[in-house]
Formats: sequence, structure tokens, C-alpha cells
Amino acid sequence: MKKLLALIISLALFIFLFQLVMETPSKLLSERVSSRYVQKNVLSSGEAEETSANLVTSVVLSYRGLDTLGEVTVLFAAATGVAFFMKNVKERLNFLFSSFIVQTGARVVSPLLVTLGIYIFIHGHLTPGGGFQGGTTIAITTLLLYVAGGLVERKRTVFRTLEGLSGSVYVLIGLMGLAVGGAFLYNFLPLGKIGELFSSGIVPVIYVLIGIKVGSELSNLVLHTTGGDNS
Amino acid sequence: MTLLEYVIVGVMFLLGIMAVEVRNLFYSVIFLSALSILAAFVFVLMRAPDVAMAEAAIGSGLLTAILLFTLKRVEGGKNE
Repeated sequence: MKKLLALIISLALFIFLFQLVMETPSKLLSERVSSRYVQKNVLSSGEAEETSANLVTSVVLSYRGLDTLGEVTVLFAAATGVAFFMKNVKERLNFLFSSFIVQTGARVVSPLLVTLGIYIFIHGHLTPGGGFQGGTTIAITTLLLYVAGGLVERKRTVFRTLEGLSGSVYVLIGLMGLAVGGAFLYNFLPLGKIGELFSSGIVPVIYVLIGIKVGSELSNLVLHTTGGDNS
Repeated sequence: MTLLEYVIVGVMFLLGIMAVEVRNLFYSVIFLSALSILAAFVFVLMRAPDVAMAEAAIGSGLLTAILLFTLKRVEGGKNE
């Protein structure tokens, strides 16, 4: 009985999908979304690209802002999974020998690295880079401090708070766009002049949030992988 | 594609095969890291600096460290 039901359901699904595939070329290909953007004149359209000097950013955050939210959510799920599996691991990884030179060097280099990461995600709409790249640079700083002999002990609550806060604010900005402009993640701030730091509306705001979120999340992931105390 | 890109992609191909085939998992991780760096270089040559930065930072920096930590955790797969 169960198998028969499963057979019927899968047959119905198959017929449905088959019909969809059969009628796709005639119906959907004539009005593809991408063709509108491919044939568009980028320099005088009056849309998001005109104010974002880095075109990739305008694609990632203006046209595909929802996808980016999904990407961040996937990263969050992965980090949560690692935290779940490493929760009961008591012993700490202490296989890295760090000399005095490494420790001092890490202390000198790490503020510069954090500054570089912040620079990368603040200027995401002007120069190559963005939230993910800058956030990873910050996480690499955490890794460096760990390698240099555990200089980042017991700071995990800060990372967790920052991560949750920035993720929530991202969704909140999307909802504000929904309230103001009628679409989720609508660009409701003034677009400004191309090439300036405060331009292209909500794009830099969202990239800063993504940078903070990715940075704290990956730092947490590194610290969880090294194990030990998981407060 | 220029000759330089052919050479780099060829080396990447070899590194990928070696990462799969080599016996010692530690060497495998290192080959993967080297492949990521070369991939970032190719992305720069193809004028995609955004992707190149992500590849260099994640693929070559963070992923290598996390894989090495994991490898240390499972003792190279011997005990499990």
C-alpha cells in the first residue's frame, strides 16, 4: 500500500515536471530575465549599477540581494553544525609550537590585518572585494592569534552576539525596503554620486553587515575546530 | 589564453590529480592549498579580482587551516 502511494505520487510529480520542461522553451525562453539585463545600456540606465563603481557588487547585492541572504544563511547553518559536533570535545589542540618571534609578530600584524579586512568590506562597492572577502580576512586574524599561542581565549560570546545582531539587521533592512519601496531589500536610501564612499544606497550598509557576520562566524568556526573550552 | 595561463592551468591539473592520489593526507591538503593559490592567480588574469580575493582568502588560507585542524583531530584517519 505504501509503495503504491509512493508510486502514484512520484508518477504525478514526474508528469508535472515533464510538462513543465516541455513547455519551458516556448513559454519562458522568449521572456528570459537575463536578456533584459544583457541588452541594457549600463551607463545610462539610472539603476543600481550607475552608482556602484564595482559592478560585481551591484549584481551581488542589488539584483541578487536575496541570494546573498541565502548564502549567509547557509554559512550560518554550516557554522552551527560544526559547533554542534565540537560541543562535547574536551581536549584542546595544542600541537602548534609558537616562538617568541611569532607571538610578537602576531601582536604587531593582527591590528593591521583587521584594518585591512574592515577596509575591504567598507569599500566593497568601490573596489574589488566585499563582505565575504573582508570577513574572511578578519577570521584569518583570529587564526593567526590562535597559532601564536592562544591570544584569543574566551572571547566567543562577543563573536556570537555580533553574528546574530548583524544577521538580524540585514533582514530588518530588507523588511524596511519592503515597507518603503514595496520589495524585499529595495534600495531606499539616496543613491548618491558614483565613486564616493557614501553612495549606492543600502549596498555599503549591507556589505558592512555581511562583513561583520562572516568575520565573526568564521572566527567562531576556527575556535570551535580547535576545540577545548566551548563556553 | 596566453602561454602563461596554459602553464598555470596545467600545473593546477597536476596538483588536483596529486591531491587525490597521494597517500599522505597532509600532503593532500597542501596540494589543495597550492591549487587554490594558482586558481586565484588565474582569476586575476581573467580580470575577476573579487573572486580571486575570495579564493585566496577562503580556499588557500582558512580552508587549509581548518582541514589541518580536522586532520589532527582524527589523527590522519588512523584511529577512527
